[in-house]
Amino acid sequence: MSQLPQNAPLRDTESLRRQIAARKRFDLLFGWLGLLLISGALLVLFLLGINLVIDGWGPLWQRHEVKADKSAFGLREVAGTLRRREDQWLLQLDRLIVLADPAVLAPLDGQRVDLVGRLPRGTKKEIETESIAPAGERPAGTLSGVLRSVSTKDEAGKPVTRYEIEPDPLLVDLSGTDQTALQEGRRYAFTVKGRPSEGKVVATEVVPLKTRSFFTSYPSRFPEEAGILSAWVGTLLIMLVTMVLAVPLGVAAGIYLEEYAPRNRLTAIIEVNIANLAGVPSIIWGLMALGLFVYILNFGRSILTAGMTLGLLVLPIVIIATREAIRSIPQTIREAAIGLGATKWQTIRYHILPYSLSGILTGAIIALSRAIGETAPLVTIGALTFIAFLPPPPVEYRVSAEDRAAYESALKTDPNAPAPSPKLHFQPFAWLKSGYTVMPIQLFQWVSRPQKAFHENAAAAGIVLLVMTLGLNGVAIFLRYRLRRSIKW
Amino acid sequence: MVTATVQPRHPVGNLKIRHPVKAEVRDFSFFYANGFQALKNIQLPVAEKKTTALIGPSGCGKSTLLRSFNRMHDLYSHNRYEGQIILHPEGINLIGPDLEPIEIRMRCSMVFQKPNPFPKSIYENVAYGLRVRGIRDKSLIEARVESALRGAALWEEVKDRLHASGQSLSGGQQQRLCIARALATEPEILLFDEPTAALDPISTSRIEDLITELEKTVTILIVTHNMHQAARISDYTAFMYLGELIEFDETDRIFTNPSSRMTEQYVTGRFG
Repeated sequence: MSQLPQNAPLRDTESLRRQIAARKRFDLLFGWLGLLLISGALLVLFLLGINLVIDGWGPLWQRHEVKADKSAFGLREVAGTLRRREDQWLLQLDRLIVLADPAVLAPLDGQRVDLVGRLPRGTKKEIETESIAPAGERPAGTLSGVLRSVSTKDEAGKPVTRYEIEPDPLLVDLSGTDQTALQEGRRYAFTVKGRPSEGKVVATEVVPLKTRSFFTSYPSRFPEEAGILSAWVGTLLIMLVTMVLAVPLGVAAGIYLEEYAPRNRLTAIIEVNIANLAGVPSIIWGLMALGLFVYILNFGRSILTAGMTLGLLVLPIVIIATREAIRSIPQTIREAAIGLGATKWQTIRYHILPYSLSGILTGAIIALSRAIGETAPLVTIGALTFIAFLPPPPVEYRVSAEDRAAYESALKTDPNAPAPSPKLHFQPFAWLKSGYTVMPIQLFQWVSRPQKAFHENAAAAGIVLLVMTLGLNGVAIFLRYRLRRSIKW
Repeated sequence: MVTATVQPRHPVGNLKIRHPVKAEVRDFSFFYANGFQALKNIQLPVAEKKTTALIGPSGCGKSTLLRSFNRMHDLYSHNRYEGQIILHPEGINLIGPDLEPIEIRMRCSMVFQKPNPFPKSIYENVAYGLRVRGIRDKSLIEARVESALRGAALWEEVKDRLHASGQSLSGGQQQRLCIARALATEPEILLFDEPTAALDPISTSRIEDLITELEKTVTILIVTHNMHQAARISDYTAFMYLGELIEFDETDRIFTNPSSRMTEQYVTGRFG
């Protein structure tokens, strides 16, 4: 700041203006600095987000096919679409990548060819070629079709040319199979007998295929087939347990501390400790939960343990949010209710709780969106990284383990023993005891693998996790807006 | 500002009143949790179905005295009452330790300085006092809500929007809603804690008219900063200063011919 000359008159307009300009310079400087910092931060955020979306967008929409009966593809099974021509069944294979010496393939580009090789197993899209020749030069081989070159990029991003064949439909003999349920145009896994020749093939079994997306697939060792089904179901169930534990407990504790507890040294200590607990590193919570829930209480590495651990972790957040919300209600409202002869509980039930609901719900949701991303405590208490099953549903129609065991022992003496029939099983809490994985752990597991394709899966899971968290926060903002609208202090 | 220290003494004026006594404050002292003595040995009769005004400069303890009448101080721990506030005709002690504060609050309703309607509908605001009592009879509640709103001179303005939020009303209407809320349970004493301090002059005059009207059916005790208001609406006036009752008399006497020099100085606006 520029100093006024010692003898300058205070009303000297010229020097006053200069002095004001000097004082305002800092305002200007700080304004620009702030703008710069904010736009820099926004730019970085934008780049990070774009990077995540670019990496994860592909896997997010990836689909793959599995057999409807969930069994693995057999050695002689090939996936294809069932077509019909007049009264004959046709097997339309997908476009296949031809694995052969490019020097042999290059001159055949764009021509019809006959190809001899083994049909790809399952939904694989490649065919290993033993020989290939222009169509009509010799008796037709395994497949016929038009060979085309396709320019693409390999894993490292280098441009390469590969050759693909668009196979002609094969006449398929389905006489050995049950044809009643077959539908034209649907996709099936065909168990083929030998190689097709002269455009004909015999199928001994036909099993329908189902499409699985990223969201409905279990993790897999093939990145293009891996998904987050067990992760998001695990996350949802654990959040349910967390919510059921943390919200009633936290709200009750907050109400007690604000409305009932006397103001003394003990409550002061409790208050300070709650604030401190909110800052305890989450891995410490995991460690404590491992000792208490897993080893002493023997809850196992289950959804229950995980939910309780995260519930404890976010309990202080819920308590603090509840207390803040209650504190924002003016004392005059309490006095008005009490002054009309209401009891403390009547005041809480009909005034304090309804008026603080928006704050409490916001706090609960913020707590939940913190819990949803927690990884460290779950790693400590033994979240599994590879889960290819879902927790048992509350109601299930299945053959019980006892019936199955009885049937197996009966089979030893009587090969014609009646097979056990499935029954309805009510097991409302069985899922609490189930093993689990959650989104962040699945994400971490994928990131820690060397293949780039898994990293892309991780980015896709990251997008989903981000959307879940932002969604929760969005709900919190919406609730606050809706519930606050009618209340003004 | 007079700086003379006030010696404890019996109030000047006339503690005998011409009307039946509804409540009587006897040797009453009040201590806040931090040990501060807010009221010192107060003696005060409250005339039945008349308006008694408590006046005095800020911090003189008039609100503290008023809030003792419905045990509002019980909300905060470690506050201490000494002496008696007797409610006639039963002669029960309002601040007696074995008396349930909730019963007191049902008999002595309070209207606060700042209008504090609940953020609920107008109807629910008025019905609340009945609801906490467990009254569920819809027709009874409806009848009482209407009579309370009529009693508070608000019915004509809100009868078409009983289910609008109480907070959507203007400040003066909100205060009349609070009066209706207090009236719904038919209290014996209505306690007003500076009911017009937050209102504009027109709303203020409506509340004053209302109080004059209410006086026919209920005993009124009002704390006010506004001496003209006390002169306009009250039958008796008590002047308090630094936790003591300096003078109590009929309002006319207090404002025209007070016994105490301090009262005279206060009512003529020379301090306070």
